[in-house]
Amino acid sequence: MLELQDVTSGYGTVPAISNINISVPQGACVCLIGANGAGKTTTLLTISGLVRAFSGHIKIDGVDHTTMSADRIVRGGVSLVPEGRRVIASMSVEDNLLIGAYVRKNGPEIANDMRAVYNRFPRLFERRRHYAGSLSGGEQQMLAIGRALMARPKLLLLDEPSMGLAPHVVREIFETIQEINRQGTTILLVEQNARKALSIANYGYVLEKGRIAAEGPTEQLRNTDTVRDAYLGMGQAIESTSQAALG
Amino acid sequence: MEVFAQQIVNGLSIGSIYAVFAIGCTLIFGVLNIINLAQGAFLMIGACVGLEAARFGLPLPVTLLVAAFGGGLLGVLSEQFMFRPLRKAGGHRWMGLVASLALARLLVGVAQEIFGTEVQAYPRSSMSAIIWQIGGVRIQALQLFIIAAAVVLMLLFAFILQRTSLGRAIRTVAFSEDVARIVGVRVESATLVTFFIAGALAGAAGLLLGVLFNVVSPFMGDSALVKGLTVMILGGLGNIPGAVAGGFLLGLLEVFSVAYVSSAFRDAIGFGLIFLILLVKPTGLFSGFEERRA
Ligand SMILES: Nc1ncnc2c1ncn2[C@@H]1O[C@H](COP(=O)(O)OP(=O)(O)O)[C@@H](O)[C@H]1O
Ligand SMILES: [Mg+2]
Repeated sequence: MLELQDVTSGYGTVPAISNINISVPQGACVCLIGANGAGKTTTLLTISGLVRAFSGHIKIDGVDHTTMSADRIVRGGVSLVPEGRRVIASMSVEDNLLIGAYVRKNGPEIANDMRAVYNRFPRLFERRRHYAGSLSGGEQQMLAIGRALMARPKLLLLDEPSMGLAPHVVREIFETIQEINRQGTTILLVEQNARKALSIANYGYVLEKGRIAAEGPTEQLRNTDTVRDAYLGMGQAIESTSQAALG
Repeated sequence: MEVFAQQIVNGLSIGSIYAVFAIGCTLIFGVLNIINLAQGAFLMIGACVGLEAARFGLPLPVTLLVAAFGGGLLGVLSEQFMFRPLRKAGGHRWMGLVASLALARLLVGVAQEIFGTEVQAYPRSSMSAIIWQIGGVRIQALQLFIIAAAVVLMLLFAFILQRTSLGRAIRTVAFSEDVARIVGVRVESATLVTFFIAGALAGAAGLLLGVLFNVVSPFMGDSALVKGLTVMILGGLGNIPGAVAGGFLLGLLEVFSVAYVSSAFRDAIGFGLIFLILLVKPTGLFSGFEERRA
């Protein structure tokens, strides 16, 4: 469904990712792991049209998206759950979900999907009239995912949904992602938490300094030395330091 | 007591106009983080086109629409041909400020050429002739029309911003252009609409102001602009309910200072009080209002 062919992209004239090839088949859950600064966010922003590719091609269902505007990409069925959640703090939870459905026109269907999001995340229903800025980190992540789902995407891009969340919340978020995938939405998941990401994805890519360093089915990737030493060990370390940092 | 009640009526009519004007300025500030100094000139142009429409024989409510449309159109043009190219060129926010001041001067010049430098008056409308005497308080039908029109405009504005998809899109752009793009908002169109709304509010305010004082001049935008900025600051920059409250407050303040002190101090007293308020509460009188609603 999603094909990145030799994509080079970045900021100004400096490439942050170079000659990336990624393929996400229909219905799959693919993860992209890598250290901080490897270019994971840049990859997702390029797919979403917020950062322009310098060269290469991005195709979705065979249609070239490389130079398409961000709003047409959303209309074409690709939604991003951005790094750091970016919920609209000064708007109510409900308005955040409604703005997620901005590209759609059918009122009754939108209302239906809103109910579906509230069923998936009962916490959001309880807090629907509250400002999004008053939610906890986990609730904001749920809201960011809910907002993206309100556009009814075929392909959902998630940028570090586990960032800064307590382990039990991370577990909940990952279960939700798996469920969304099982219900038919194709997923490209970016994570620093390699262990978690590899546990729910079917296929994985490892990004190092803007290049794909390894790829493969997740069972296989998990057992390669590079991934085990560099990411699974470190993933643990990152997890425990971030927990320490959060107190 | 009668003087007091009379001043309340007068203060509310002028204050409602300030509020309409100031929410437009506040909207632009909230969405783009710029202060558009040409809003005062849009107000003046609104009054001028409204005047032409009135001379043409159109009824008052229709002239209001004409003035609003004129102001809105100017807002759109200023964004399309001035603010956006400046942003695209990577200009600093100050550049937009200076450019908008230049645009204001340009529009004043154009208005002088077209409408002349003389102060002009609206054709007698039947509404200014209707005056109710309640106790010792004189209420003109015109004043009621102005307050009603201002309230309708503000309610319409609040409805669009709070309850419609367009309004949510504008608020999302105000929060972050990137987030707006992520959900599929065409940021450029939403920005143009924002400028239209703000310009239309300025144009409508211009007509109401011209009708209230029965004075239209190419220079009326200057003092209006200062008042609009004052109200913006009073209400807390970017705070729309604050701007509404600030508009009414300034209108009442002015009218009372004229009635009880001297008309010579009208502006000085208003601004003096604002200075005091800012010293005591630098974020504006009504800041914190939005957060508290949570
Ligand atoms: N807005 C930006 N402007 C310039 N450089 C950036 C910007 N965002 C990220 N970069 C650079 O691009 C590289 C990749 O960053 P990013 O895609 O955010 O990595 P990751 O998401 O894997 O942590 C880094 O070297 C980073 O410094
Ligand atoms: Mg990142």
